[in-house]
Amino acid sequence: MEDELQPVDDGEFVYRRIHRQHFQPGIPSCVLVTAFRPTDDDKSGLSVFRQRFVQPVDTLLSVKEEKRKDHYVARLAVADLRKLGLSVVPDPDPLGPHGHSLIPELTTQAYHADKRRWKDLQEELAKLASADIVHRPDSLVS
Amino acid sequence: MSGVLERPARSWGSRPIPGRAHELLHSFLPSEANGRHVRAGTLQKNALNNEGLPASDAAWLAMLEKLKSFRELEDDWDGQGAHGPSEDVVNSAIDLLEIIRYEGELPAPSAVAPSPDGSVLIVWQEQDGMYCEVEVVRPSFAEVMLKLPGQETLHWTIPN
Repeated sequence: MEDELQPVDDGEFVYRRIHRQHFQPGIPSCVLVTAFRPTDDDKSGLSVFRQRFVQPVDTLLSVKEEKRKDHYVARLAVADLRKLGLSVVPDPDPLGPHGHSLIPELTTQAYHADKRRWKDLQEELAKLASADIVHRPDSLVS
Repeated sequence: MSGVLERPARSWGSRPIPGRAHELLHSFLPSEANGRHVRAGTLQKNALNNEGLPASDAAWLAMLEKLKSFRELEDDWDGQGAHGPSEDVVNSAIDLLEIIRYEGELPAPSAVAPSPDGSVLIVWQEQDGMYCEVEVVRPSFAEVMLKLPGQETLHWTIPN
C-alpha cells in the first residue's frame, strides 16, 4: 500500500464531499460556497481526500450511513488550490477513508478572523468544484 | 395563490417596511456601490404579470419554501456535525427575502442554502460571472458579498 504520509504533489487531485444542501443544479456554479465553510471540527483545516488512495464514493464511508445518499463529491486539482494560495497536507485517519488530507489554511479560526478574504476565496473554490462533479447522490440509489 | 403581493409583516428594523426595504435595496444594488454600474442583463428587474406579481413568482415561492424547510434542520443534518440554523435566523432570512421580493427590484435568487455553522445563505449568480451572496449570520444581521467580473469584490453588512 502506498504511504498516505507522502507529501501531496502538485499533479494530484483531491475529493471534497458536497452535501446536497450545498448544491443547486442549473446555475453557473452549482456547488455553493457553503460547501467550503469550515465547521467547529475543522480546527486543523478543511477535509479532502487524495484521489490516488480512494474512489469518490469511498469518501462517504465516514459519513453517517443514512446521510451518504445526500452527498455529491467534487474533484479539485491541487495545482488549482496552490494558485489560490492553498496547500494540501496528508492527515491519514486510521478509522476513516484512505487519503484523508487537510487544507490547513482553511480553519474555522482563520475563517472567522478574516471572513471577507475567505468568502471571496470560497467562491473560487465553489467554481472549481462545480466544474468537476465526480459522484452524484443518485449513484447510490439502487 | 393570492393575486396581491402582501407587504412583509416583519422588518429588519424599526422603520416602516417600504422605507427600510428601499434602504436595503439601495445598499444592495451594485449601481449604488461606489458608483459602479450594472451592465445590461445583470440583475434585471422582474416584469410584472397582470396580477401585479413578478413573472418569476414561482421561482420566488420555490426559494421561500426552501428557506422555510431549513426550520426542520437539526444539528448534524449533514452527518458531519453541521449546526442547524436557529428559527430566528431562518425567519430573518425569510423576512429579508420577502422584503427584496416586495420591492421587485431583483430577480428571484439562484439558490438558498444553510451553512454548516448555522447561518443561512441567499445567492444570486449570472452567466457573466456576477455573484452576490447575502448571508444571514444572526437574526436581523446579514453579510453581503458582491463580485462583478473584472472588478474588486465588495463587502458590506445589512444593516450597514
